[in-house]
Amino acid sequence: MKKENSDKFEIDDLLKQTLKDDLPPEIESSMKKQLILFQKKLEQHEQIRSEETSRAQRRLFQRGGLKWMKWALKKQVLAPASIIMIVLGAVLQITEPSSVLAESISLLKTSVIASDRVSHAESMECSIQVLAENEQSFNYFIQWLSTNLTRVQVINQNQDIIKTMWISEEEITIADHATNILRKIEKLEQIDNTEFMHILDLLSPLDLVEQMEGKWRLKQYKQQGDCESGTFIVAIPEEKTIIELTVDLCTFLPTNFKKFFEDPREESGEGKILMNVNFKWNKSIPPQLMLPKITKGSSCA
Amino acid sequence: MDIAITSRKHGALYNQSWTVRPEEIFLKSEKLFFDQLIKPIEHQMMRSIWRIVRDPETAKDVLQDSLAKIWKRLDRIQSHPNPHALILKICLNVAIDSLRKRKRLRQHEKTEPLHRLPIQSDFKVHEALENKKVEAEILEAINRLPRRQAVAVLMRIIQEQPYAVIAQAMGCNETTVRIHVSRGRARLSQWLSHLKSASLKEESK
Repeated sequence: MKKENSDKFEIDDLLKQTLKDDLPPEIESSMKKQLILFQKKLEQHEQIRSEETSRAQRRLFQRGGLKWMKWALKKQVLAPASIIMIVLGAVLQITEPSSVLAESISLLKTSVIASDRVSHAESMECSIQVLAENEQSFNYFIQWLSTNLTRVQVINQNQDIIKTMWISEEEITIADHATNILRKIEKLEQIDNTEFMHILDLLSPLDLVEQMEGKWRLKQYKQQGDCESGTFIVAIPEEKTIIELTVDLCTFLPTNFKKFFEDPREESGEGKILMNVNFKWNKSIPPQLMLPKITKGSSCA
Repeated sequence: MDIAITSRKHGALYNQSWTVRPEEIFLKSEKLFFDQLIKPIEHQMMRSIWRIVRDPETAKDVLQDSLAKIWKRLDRIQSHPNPHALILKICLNVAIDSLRKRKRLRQHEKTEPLHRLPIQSDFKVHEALENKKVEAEILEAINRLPRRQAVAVLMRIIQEQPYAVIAQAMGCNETTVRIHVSRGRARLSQWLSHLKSASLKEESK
């Protein structure tokens, strides 16, 4: 026992003496500079994230900016526009061969009606697969009700829900199923979970509409089958990505959304899928799913 | 306080109870994260790294890699019961990785980087070479230890952390940490026995 103890002290002393605490001041100061740089980067990241999330929240809850779109989508404006387009379409179908103009009218008709249908949707459910950096993948399930209630679930590879976020106009609640901790926050800016950053543009149909009308640059439109569905191929120049949005031509609602890296060598867009979204529209969603319910006798901070 | 949540899994609705910790209600910002979690231990981080790698360039690289790892695990660190210990453990892990990397590199270039030794008198050069040799042997021995043993030994001996803190950082119980430290010490004692006797002789002189 005594020998063991003396061995223990000897080896401790040997390690302490050899690996002694003698960090030279010049190296300490250069390491300190690295830490200051890291602190600055953290602050920059916080600022960027805050800007991104406030943009997303503006889209979700402040509809003032979309007034002009509401006007443009009013029945009084849409009805004559649609009639003109149908007449033009019929004329162009009769006169052979079908021209680029016919295609563009079909595209315009589809995009206008799709935007209208999406912004007037009563509910939306979508499952999302995201391939993030380092080949890490995330799965999400978003449910949205027209009362501006959104629920987002982050699902792992075993199909277990690891995080859930509820968004209402009053507050945001995030449940971490791994740590069993429930957090309440007031603004989307306060979210620090990196998992949710990938889907900020899909928190509601209005976000999708805003992207369709503002951020995306159309490259191509094609119809599949016997006019069963139409696919918009668009580019997002600032992200260097390509998006394929497929719309059901019976309901004019999007059915699928795929995001790829922009690669000039792959014109077909069959590169690595960064994001794949499957939509379901106007299905009834149980209201109790949309807000965490506080049990009797308990209080919430 | 308890909150019940209705959720849906595989199409079926089910209820789940949650315990809310009031201190978790508000979220920390990145600036607060740095001020509260990194700043108080930045000297410990730098010194722990230096004591293991003992090379200026490698120390800077290890600090950089450690910060990158900390950045990736912000969520985990924030919700950890002892974030400071976890950060120091991350630094040690990266430092051990760098030792292993250095060993692999040395297998290719078999010569020692003597140019890093300061130019001094003959006696001092000899002493510095001797110290460098002892240092290299100790680092080599640490490198040979299984990773968890190496981390436990270094946290205990170099960082002088209590067993309970090491257990929190390593995500195991205190008994396991004691076993890791004891086994690590025994192995180091065996591998470095010739150095121990030499240092004792020097002390007796």
